[in-house]
Amino acid sequence: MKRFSEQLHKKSQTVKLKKSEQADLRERIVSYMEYHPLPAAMKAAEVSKTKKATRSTIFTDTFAHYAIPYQMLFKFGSVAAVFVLVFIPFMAERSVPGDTLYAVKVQFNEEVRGTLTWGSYEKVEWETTLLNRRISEARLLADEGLLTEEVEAGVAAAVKVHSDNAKREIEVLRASDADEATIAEIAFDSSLSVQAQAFGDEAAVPATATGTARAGMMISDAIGKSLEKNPQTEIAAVPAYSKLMARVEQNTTRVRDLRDSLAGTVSDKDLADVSRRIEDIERAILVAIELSADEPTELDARIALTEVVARTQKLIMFMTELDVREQVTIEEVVPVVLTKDEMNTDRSNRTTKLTAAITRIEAAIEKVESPAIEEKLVAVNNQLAASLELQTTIEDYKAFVVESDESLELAADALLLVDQETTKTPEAPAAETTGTSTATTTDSAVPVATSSTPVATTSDPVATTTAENTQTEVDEQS
Amino acid sequence: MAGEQSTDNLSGHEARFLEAYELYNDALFRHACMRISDREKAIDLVHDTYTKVWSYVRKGYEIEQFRPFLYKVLNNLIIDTYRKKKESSLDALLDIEGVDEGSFDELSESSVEALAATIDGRKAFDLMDDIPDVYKEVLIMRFVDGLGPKEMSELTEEKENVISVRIHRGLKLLRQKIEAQDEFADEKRKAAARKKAADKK
Repeated sequence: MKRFSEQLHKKSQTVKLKKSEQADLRERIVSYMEYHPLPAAMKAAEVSKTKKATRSTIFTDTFAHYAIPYQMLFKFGSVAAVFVLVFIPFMAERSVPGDTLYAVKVQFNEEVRGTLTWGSYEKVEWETTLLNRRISEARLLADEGLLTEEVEAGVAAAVKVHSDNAKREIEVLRASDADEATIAEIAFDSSLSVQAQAFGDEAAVPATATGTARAGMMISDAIGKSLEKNPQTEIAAVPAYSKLMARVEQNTTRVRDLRDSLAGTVSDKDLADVSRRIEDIERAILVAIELSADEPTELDARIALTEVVARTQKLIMFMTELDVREQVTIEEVVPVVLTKDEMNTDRSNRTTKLTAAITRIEAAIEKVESPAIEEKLVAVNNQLAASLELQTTIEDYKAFVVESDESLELAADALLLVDQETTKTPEAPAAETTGTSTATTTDSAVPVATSSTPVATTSDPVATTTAENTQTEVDEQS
Repeated sequence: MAGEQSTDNLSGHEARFLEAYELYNDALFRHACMRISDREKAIDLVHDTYTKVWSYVRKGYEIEQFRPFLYKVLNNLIIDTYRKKKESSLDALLDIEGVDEGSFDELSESSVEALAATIDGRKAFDLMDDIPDVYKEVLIMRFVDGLGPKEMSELTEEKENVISVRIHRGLKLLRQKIEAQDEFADEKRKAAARKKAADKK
């Protein structure tokens, strides 16, 4: 059989296609395949299966087709998009002037966020935020000694631009809603004043100083100019009570949230200071509500609320801007407002101190040998006695503080004179006793001289209030 | 042979199909040509075979092994060709020939070998067209295409026993044809010799 198979097979091998027939048949079949290609879905599945672009080698050049790796392109495109749109902007947020990514931060991140900000009030807030950011960046560079004049000029220009933008938005808002515009202006001015306070300390260096010593001067000037009011600008009317109250509600809620978020990250004293300011604000709100009940005092209520808006804004600014917290104290930004009890206690303390000073001066008049000094002390003593009498008749606390500060200052000068005279006088045994007595009195009277300085050892809010701050507060309340 | 359900595993279909063409086009042509004895028609049948298989691929079916599937399609096309000719239908042939389960002798592989050993392959090739297609089909599959009994059974959709019987009978028929041809040639040669001797006388 093997022989038969071989013979038959060998013979059958003579039956075969000629080369031309084979080529022709192949071309016909390939043409058929080209005109009846695989469905697109099958090709896509095939591409996904192989996960690579393949060029078919079976077709003629005319029908050659290329598989575009859409899926791969999509994947890499997605990764690239995430990198460009998320990672780089995220990293850029930490950049400062001079960094490579700073342009991304200013020209992409902030532009996008600004574009997404709707409403004039929100735009004013956004411009305020940008202004704060520029100042924070400058402060950061100044701390590191990298704030060059060029960068500072850039920051000052940016401060001016954002300030102008905010003012322009305020004017736009004023055309549609004057009340809202006024509130926005108050908020903007409050934020700016806090920055001015914070930068004021840094920029308070001699004009002759150079380099980093004068860092911040241009920025401080720019902030100062931004705070200046255009004399042609109309004095804005006090906003409506309801709108003010709505803004106060928003701000106080924000303040409480910020206070809660600070818990655990700041010291108990700082937290207590913030809580104290919140209590002051709440008290002021209650007063405003009481005032609004009567029509004649409704305007006073609105003015009080305007002040509350400013205070809350400053407090928000103080709590949100870490670098501001490092530069100024909360007392400088939002001074404590005393309660009635605290006012009475303070009044009593001041009167006691002044009385003690008068007593000591009277004692010194009897002992002093120089007639000229005796004359001076007598005059001062009379003046202080008159002032003391006047103070007992002043009901207004603010006026009392003004009068009290003046008299205490005068008493301090007089006691300084007494002390100088005492040290010049030769000490006789009898006089020594008196001198000791005087010295003791002086010691006890030291608080008179330092009555205008805070007594930090006591937790009494009155004691922590400096005469200077009280004066500031009085000025503000006036 | 071929998957009956659609599948997503279509990787490299075109390449696989073209590879199958390169591998089997000559064998398929030989098979068709020997079956129908028409060169041009055989080329067309091979072409039609491949286009039908390609259409099958396009529908999303997966072909695990191209060789048996191609033979199956070609075989069906050849049968269709016979039916169109109506010269002698397969059924008629089967009826005429009365193919049955066969005897033990016909089913024995050794008997097939013994029978084949007595046949000259070259002569058998020349006489292949003289035997009915039902035998020619299996003989070509077996001795030209080298298919096994199981593959042939699947292609022809007949039992292996039937295939074996057909091979046996086909060989037997071929031997008869060869013997008849040889006898005819002998007689012809003898007649020629006699004529030559008579001419000499």
